[in-house]
Amino acid sequence: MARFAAGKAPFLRAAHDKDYGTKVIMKDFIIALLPVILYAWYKNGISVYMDGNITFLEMLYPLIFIMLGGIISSLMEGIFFFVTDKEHRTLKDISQKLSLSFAAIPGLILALLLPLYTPVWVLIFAAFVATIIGKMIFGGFGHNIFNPALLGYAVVGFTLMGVVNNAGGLFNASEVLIDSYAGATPLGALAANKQIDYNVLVKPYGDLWTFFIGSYPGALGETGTLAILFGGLYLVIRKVIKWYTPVIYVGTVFLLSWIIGALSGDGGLWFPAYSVMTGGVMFAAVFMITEPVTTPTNILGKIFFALFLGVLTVLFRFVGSLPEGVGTSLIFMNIFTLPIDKFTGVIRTKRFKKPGGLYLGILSGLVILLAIYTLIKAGNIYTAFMPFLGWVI
Amino acid sequence: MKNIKNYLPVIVISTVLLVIFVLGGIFSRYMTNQIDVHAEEQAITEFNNSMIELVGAGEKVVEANYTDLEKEYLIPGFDNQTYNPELTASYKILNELDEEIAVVYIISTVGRYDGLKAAYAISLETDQLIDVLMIENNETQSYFDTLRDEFYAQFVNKDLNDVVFTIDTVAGATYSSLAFDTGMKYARELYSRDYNFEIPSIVYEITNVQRNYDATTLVSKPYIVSITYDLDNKNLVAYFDNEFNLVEVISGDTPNDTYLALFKNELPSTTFIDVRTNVTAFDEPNGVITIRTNGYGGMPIIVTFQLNETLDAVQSMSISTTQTYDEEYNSDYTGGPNPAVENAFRDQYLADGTYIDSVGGATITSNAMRRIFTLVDDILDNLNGGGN
Repeated sequence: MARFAAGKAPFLRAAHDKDYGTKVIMKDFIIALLPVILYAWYKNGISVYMDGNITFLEMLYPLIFIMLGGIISSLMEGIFFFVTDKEHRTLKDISQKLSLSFAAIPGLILALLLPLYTPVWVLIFAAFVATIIGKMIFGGFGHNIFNPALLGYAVVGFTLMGVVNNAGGLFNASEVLIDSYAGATPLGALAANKQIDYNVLVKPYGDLWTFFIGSYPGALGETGTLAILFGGLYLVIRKVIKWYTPVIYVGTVFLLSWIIGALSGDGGLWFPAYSVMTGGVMFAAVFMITEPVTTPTNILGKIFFALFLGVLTVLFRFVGSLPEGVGTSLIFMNIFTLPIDKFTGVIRTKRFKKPGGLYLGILSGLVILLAIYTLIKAGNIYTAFMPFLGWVI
Repeated sequence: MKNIKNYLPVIVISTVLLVIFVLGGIFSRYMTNQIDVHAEEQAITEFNNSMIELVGAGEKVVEANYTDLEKEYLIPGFDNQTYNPELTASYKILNELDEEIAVVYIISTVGRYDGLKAAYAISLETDQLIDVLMIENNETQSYFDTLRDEFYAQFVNKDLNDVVFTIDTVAGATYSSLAFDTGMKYARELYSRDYNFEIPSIVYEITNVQRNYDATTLVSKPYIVSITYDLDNKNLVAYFDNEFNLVEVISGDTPNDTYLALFKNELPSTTFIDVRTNVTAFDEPNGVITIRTNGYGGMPIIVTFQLNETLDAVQSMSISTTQTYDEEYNSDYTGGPNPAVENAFRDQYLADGTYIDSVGGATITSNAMRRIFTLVDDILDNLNGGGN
């Protein structure tokens, strides 16, 4: 199979280590996803059923939908294995390969990124993009450049979101009845109103505690901050992910949002807190930017990756066509994983001598310039920010 | 056979995928369809709750399926035109023992426009109108919004046994007020039919209405009304003003307030004389007389006549009007813009003292002008025995 990446992801090198082998890591990964899956089911199924707004069958749907994501991506990979490997075409061979390829995970994550009312055929299409195009064509597990689930989500986001919205979109059967939501998600409210106002962005949905728990409209798996933190904590304890990558990413989004809020006249911490708890920031922080295949492998690379990603997330939220900036920025940053890995590898080995110092300067300069640009673009929306910028510059 | 066996894995996987595609698709389509179902269920629940809230008690709402009855009411602003309100739905409110405690009639009436729909809740225990709830309307919202809590408070616990069963209208939203008033009266009629409620009646008959042409009092006491009332057949002859309030008793006893309210309620629809056209001012020394009537949509037409020195002919007149003929029968009207119709009547009258029959497409305005000229001629006749 073709290999696009510079080398196999590091965990594959420890595949036979009983404590840190790939299987263990992936098992931990699935365990970490469990609170998110269960919360998504509770929020969009069980609690709505308890409210008396849906039937028992509908109550099961969120769980079935998420499971279907995993099953479909596994089946896709199975067909791919059958077509590409003529020597091993038995069900036993294919099953064995699927278990080593962890085929269900991209589909599971993909389903968690999508709205509840995504038609199943859209899920199948997205799973095809994620699994076949995003993963298998690049050589399969450990070789892909882009996060497969994210690629599937991005394609749906840019091409089929109208279909998804027509089918019901993000709002579960209880949320559609809440007048104060006015048919908008929190990020949609920010994109529509272009103002940093607690009463517009937070109050219609409750308070910041609501955002922390996750009982507000959003994609299946991205709203439950608390559940995501449980999963993240488990992965950190199990040493599957490094704590600093999500912390730096979330911290960057938090800091930039706080500056933007302060410069627009509201320096309260609610806006940065709102910024990190809405959309896919927390989900990406724990389950995507820590993914070892499509993100840098060395410490410095992870730090720069998280910094760039944080800045881009804020930037794309203000300049992009979609209210959410996480998916776009992560796909974009996936492209630069190898250069960042290479640059930061040189920096680590050469320290501040040439070319290490030069690379460090380039990367740091880029992050700073991008951050300034983001603040300027945010200022285009928050007009109060512009005079200040004019004065500073 | 061997070939099929070789392809068995991909056939199995593809079949599973196909099954997911079909069954999953059906399930997701079902989910989408359920959104509308739940929305409808929710709307029904909310509506039922609003009905229970309207009554202020009760546990359950069941559809009653009562039907309309024939009862004509005046269309606001169109004195000679009547309509039958429409009962669009009816509901029984039950208590925890499933006993009916109230009925709610959803009635559509005419205000400024057709389709003012409101719920009228009536208590079976007290025979009172419990409250009213506006459901939907096509009225001009800025005017309709002038109906505030004080207006709606008139309906709360209003006794159906009241002889004068009416509410005060709100200036600026008169037609909308009348639509509610009509709805309330129609609800009482329905309640009378459906629950054997006896609408209280009171005996009286307006036997005659004449216009007072006395120069000194024709503005303040324009109508001389003869009424027989009460079971004892009391006779009353009295002056009434333009608002149909009793001003002075000519003969007989002064009736109580209930009767006076009834007279005031009925006199506007009397057919003895035209009571839509009134003298609003008469300056006898200077020979100036002002007459007002309602044209299209109740909009006023006011004509001020300058009489000659002997007060037996009109010399000139000025017209104040806000009529817009294209709102009447726009396809038929071919004349000029406002006030072309009024001016045509004026010119004809000043030329030879006659009235134009009617201007096509502006019938209501034409009729209004004819009423004004008829009244001024009657006044001139009675003042001096002359006329134009």
